[in-house]
Amino acid sequence: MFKYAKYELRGTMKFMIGALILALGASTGIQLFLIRTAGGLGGSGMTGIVEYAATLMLALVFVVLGSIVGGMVYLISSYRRELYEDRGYLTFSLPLSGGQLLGSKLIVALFWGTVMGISIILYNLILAQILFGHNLLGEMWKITGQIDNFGFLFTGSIITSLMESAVTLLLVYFAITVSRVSIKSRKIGSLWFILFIVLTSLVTYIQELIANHLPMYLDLSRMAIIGQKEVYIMGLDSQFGGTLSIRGVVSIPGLVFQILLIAGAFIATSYMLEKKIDIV
Amino acid sequence: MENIVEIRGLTKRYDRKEALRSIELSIEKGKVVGILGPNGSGKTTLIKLLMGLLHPNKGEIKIDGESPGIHTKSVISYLPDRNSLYSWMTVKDALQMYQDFYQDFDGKKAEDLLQFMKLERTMRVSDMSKGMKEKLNLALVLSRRAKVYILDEPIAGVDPVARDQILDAIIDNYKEDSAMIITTHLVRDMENIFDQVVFLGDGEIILSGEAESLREEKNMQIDDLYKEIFG
Repeated sequence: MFKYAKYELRGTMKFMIGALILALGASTGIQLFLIRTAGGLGGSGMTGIVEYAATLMLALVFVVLGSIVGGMVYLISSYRRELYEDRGYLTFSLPLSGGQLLGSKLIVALFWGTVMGISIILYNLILAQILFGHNLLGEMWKITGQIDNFGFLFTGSIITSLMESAVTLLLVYFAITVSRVSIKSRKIGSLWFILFIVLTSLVTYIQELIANHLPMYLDLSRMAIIGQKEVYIMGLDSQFGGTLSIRGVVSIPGLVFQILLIAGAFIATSYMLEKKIDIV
Repeated sequence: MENIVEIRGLTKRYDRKEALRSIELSIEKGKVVGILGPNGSGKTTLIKLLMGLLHPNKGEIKIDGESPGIHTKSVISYLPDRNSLYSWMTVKDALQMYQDFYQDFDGKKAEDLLQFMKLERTMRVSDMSKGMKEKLNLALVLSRRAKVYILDEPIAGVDPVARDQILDAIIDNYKEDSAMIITTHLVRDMENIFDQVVFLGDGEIILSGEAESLREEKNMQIDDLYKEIFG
């Protein structure tokens, strides 16, 4: 599987590095602009700092999301090209199982998502520290030291984020593959997006049903299983809809559902890739 | 010699159109088999079914004793009728990919074939002409010590010089313990390398047999026989 992932990584590298450079460049521009604005609005006083931080965070969220979404669209189209373009003749004649092919695509997409997210956040924090002269990284480090079980909380949050990303990607791959198997035409095959929206809505609905009927949660900061009452006290009860984890609290039945969903979507898509796809 | 390829009752439909109908074919080790027919006769469909790129509606294929899948892909060296190498690749990347995926890949032979084809390792696939891509793909395919070679229209659409180079490479690199399946509608250029020929028309086998026997029996060249059947 990793043999093919190597080529998938190389094939997507140019675009993804370009998207990353663009995002970092835009971040630099935004920060340079904001530091001037903050200076003009509030000088070096606290008002200026707060305004600066609030606007910066909002701008960063847009930059991070925009570049990650752009990158993901490119990676998804790379999967789609295997099924519709001549490159599929090479890919599907390699001695690979459907699972190995899908696994490679998934790993590379998750890898790029992680690299982009971490690079953009770290770059912006370091740049803000340099430009603003405020020890943001030091402050964050101090805050993490005050949080109980930060290691569990951090690892748990990373794992649940990766799982949610994997579910989204697998639903995309599944929808594209079903469209390819059932509709040969590339133009009508674009209906995969509608199928993806339907599937995502269905998954969110089931997730919400599970959260409502089986209120059992894992509090990562205490590594304890908690119930509806404690989640209510924490003010999170109404927020567990289609989301797996909020502020370090994970829905246990939701987690089981996501694991089953990942396994089911992976097996079904792999099977179709190996046994049902016709490279015409 | 034992059969390396066995096809029984093979049928393939695209929607309502039948592209292949009840094909029966056996190919022995050590034979060069020409699948001959005009455009749309089902040659490429047959090849893609052997490669596992298409899935049959009916019938059975066995290659080296197994149905098309991971094992058969590892023993077949396949030249598609179009360039399938990724556009970002250089010749060096393509060689590395073959080395990574096929245990039977012979790097030394690949170097010799690239030299023969006048291709540099630093060339990018996206910068190559159609003929150069065809030669690169063929160099990669013939650099494997595969049990079955499948070449789909290897000389279609290339200039006469490249055509001669490709034919020489095929003849020089043919292995006695392998089978080679070549589809073409350019019969005159290739008929001398075929041991066996299969005439495919409208999804059915119209005629098949040993090339030499057919020449004697019909008292004409395979190219003339092709014109008689499809003309």
